[in-house]
Amino acid sequence: MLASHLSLYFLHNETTNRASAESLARQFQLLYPGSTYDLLDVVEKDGVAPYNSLVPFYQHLSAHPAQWKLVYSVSNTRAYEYFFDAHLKVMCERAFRRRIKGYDPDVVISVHPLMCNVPILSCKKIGNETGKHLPMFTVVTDLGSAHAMWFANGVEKMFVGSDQIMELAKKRGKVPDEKLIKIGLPIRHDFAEQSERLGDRMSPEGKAYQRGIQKELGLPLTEGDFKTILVMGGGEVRLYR
Amino acid sequence: MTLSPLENNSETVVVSSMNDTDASNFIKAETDSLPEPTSKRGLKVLFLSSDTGGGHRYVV
Repeated sequence: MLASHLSLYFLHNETTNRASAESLARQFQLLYPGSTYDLLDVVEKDGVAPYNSLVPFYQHLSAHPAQWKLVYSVSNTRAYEYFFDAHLKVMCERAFRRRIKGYDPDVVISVHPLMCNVPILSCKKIGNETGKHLPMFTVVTDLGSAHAMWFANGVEKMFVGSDQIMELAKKRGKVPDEKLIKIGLPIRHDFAEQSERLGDRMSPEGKAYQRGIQKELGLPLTEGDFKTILVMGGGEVRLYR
Repeated sequence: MTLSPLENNSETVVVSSMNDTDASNFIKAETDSLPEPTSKRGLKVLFLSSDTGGGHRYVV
């Protein structure tokens, strides 16, 4: 019988939406040097109840999967989508517009399903008020399935990560082909940097680089009896004690 | 960038199969509707985001 020893290392990470925004921001800074960015949770700042307390509410739901499933299923319907958009438009559009305008952005990018439809309207109105077109884009950060509220089709372009999401955008949001771009999910620029430093992973230099990283992270060297398995969890995956 | 063989059967192949130059050119081509920067210092980008969604909030 083989003896085995398992060491688990967990990474504390921020949420997908935020990480996506940070990754995209880095690309803007590389492609358009000198670019600056802000992150805005306009629903939390200027939304009405219950949407303005979404973060703690979401954390509660994440810990109670049955409740989460119920809320997701109910909200992921055309009827609720219509109600939500109308409700938010009447109650919050003006405040959203004022808030967004306060940042004086050149471009607005939504990476959250609840901040698509009404902000599109706000951006259009800001454009009318200022005489300067304010383009808005959506980057859908879900890969296999996605909530219907992502697919507000008034954006300039909608970036999606997979064929499944592209189909969903066409079906649920009636997003026209010319607005849809399948390009994958935003990932940190650090991956590209590490990949460049690694080079050919099977070359002596590549292997030496891997050993250096393993040492730096306190991982057992893969050339010994230990193997390192990288387990990645996203979406609604939770890690429990 | 050249990533590992892990890219072979993953949906992330879309991202990982592009090198940095390809990806940059693609993004530039697809974002023609971006306005000219308001200053020579680049664009002011506003992300609408929230700390909901996935991500690990617990460390063991």
